[in-house]
Formats: sequence, structure tokens, C-alpha cells
Amino acid sequence: MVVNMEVKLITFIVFIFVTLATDFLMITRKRKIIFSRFPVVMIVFLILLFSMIGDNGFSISRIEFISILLVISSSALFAYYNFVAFIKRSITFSIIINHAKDPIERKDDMEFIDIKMRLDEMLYSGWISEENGGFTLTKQGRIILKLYKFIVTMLRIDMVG
Amino acid sequence: MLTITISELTGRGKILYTRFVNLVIIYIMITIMILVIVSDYISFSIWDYFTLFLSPTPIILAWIGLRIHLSNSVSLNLLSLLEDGGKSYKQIEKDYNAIKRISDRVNNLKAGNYISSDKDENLENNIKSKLVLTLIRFFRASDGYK
Repeated sequence: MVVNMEVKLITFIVFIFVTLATDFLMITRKRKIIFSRFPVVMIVFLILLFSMIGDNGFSISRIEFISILLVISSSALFAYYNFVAFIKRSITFSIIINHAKDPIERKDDMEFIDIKMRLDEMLYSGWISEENGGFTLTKQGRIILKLYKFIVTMLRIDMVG
Repeated sequence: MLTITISELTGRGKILYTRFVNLVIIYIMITIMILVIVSDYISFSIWDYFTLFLSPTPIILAWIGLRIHLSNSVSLNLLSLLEDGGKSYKQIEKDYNAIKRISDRVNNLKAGNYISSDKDENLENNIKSKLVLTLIRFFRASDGYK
């Protein structure tokens, strides 16, 4: 069976969006986690399925086609997890929800920054270490920071976080 | 990649939210330009048009996500505070100046008419604020909202 490559590609992209939308609406938005395995598993399955369906009907090898699918999938997953992290951890969103409550019921907006939680995360990731009551960068942390500053400088990004 | 490059060069470092329309326009213009150039050599079907428009969107969305993440990341900002040497928790708190950063966010929300400017600082009772609040509560169902 010959299936036009463009049709396969568009159908694949549509399936990716449906998978990610399903994961967000049915699973991720109802849980505290940011990363869930369901989309990764589904997308791997879709790549295998689409790479095996019919001939490509176009002058492109199967490996080239799978490479295209991998680029699209990894970009979509990266964008999706960034979106989920933004939704769940946005301080501005937390402030908005907080100010929708009566002033008596509100938390201090400062709680949403939660510096301690972020330091704990970075300790766990190995970016910083704690010694004698102080925090210092590890070698890994220095590399991450260098990379971050390089990208931010190149792209002229204002750090507003 | 061409869309992203041109958007970055013409954006002059402005925040992505303020030039999102610019990004979309550049994307559409480049896609049309490619179609016009290539159509002299290849005949296009309707599926080719859809493929050309649709296939770069995950990459562009990934780029947008990366850029927003880099500019808004509190953790990376905290990391940069430790560049000059070790600091205690209190020193990090002081250097990060969380009070000012929160205050800036609240002031931006006031300027955008999401929060009132009176002493109660309640969420404004307008369509925009209600819509945003509904969306946030829907997206954050894990926080106890339905």
C-alpha cells in the first residue's frame, strides 16, 4: 500500500497533538506532576506505527522519514513539558488565584516564590552543594550557569524570573 | 529555523509575548515565500501546503517554550546569584530581592487591569480577569479546582 508521505506526516502531527491534549486534559492537569510517561510511550508507539505503514510513495528512505518524525516528536514533547511546567509553576498565575480570594483568606504572595523549595531541587539535581550553612555551585552547576548565561546573552533575553 | 532567526534578529530582545504576532506574521510570510519559489520547480498538492505549514509548528512551539522558560526561571536566577561564591540562605533571599520581584509582578497585573489598585488588591471584576482565572483553575485542576 502506497501512502503519500505528506499525508502520513500531517496525520502524525495531528496524532501528536491529540496525544498531548489527551494527556494534559485527562492526566497531567489533575496531578501535581509535570512529567508523565504517557505521551512519551504513545509517541514512540506512533513513530513505530507510522514508519511501518505502507511505502512512502516519495523519494525518501525510511530512515530519513523516521528522522523527521523524531525531530517533530522531540520538539513537540519539549514544547509540551515547558507548557505544563509554565502552567503549574507560574508565580503570576498563583498570584492571580490568590487575589481572587478574600483578603482575609489570602496567603502572602511571597510564598509562591518558595526559594527553599528551589534550592532543595537544585541540591537534588547536583547543581549546588550545601556546606557550613552556605550554598555553593558544583562543577555541574557552573556548567549549567555558563550555558544559561551564554544563551541569554546571545538571544538578548531579559531575566525576569 | 528561518522564522526563529528572523524573529530574534528583528525582535531586538523584546519579551516574546509582546512580539508573538510578529513571529506568526514572519512564519506565514516565509512559508508563502518558500511555496512561491519552489512551485516553479515542483507541482504542489493541497497536502504539500498543509505539510509545509504544519510540520514546523512543533519546533517553533519548542522554541517559544524554551525562550519563556529561560527568561522566567527563578531557579536559574538563583543559580546566578551563587556565581561569585557561596552564600547563606538569608543572603540568597536578600540578593534575590523576592519582595521587589513579587511587587513587580503585582504591579504588572495592576497595569494590565487584572488586579485592582486599591488597598485590597482584589482581582478585577472584568471579563478578561474572569476568563484568565477560569482558565488557570481549569489548567490547575490538581490544586483542587474542578
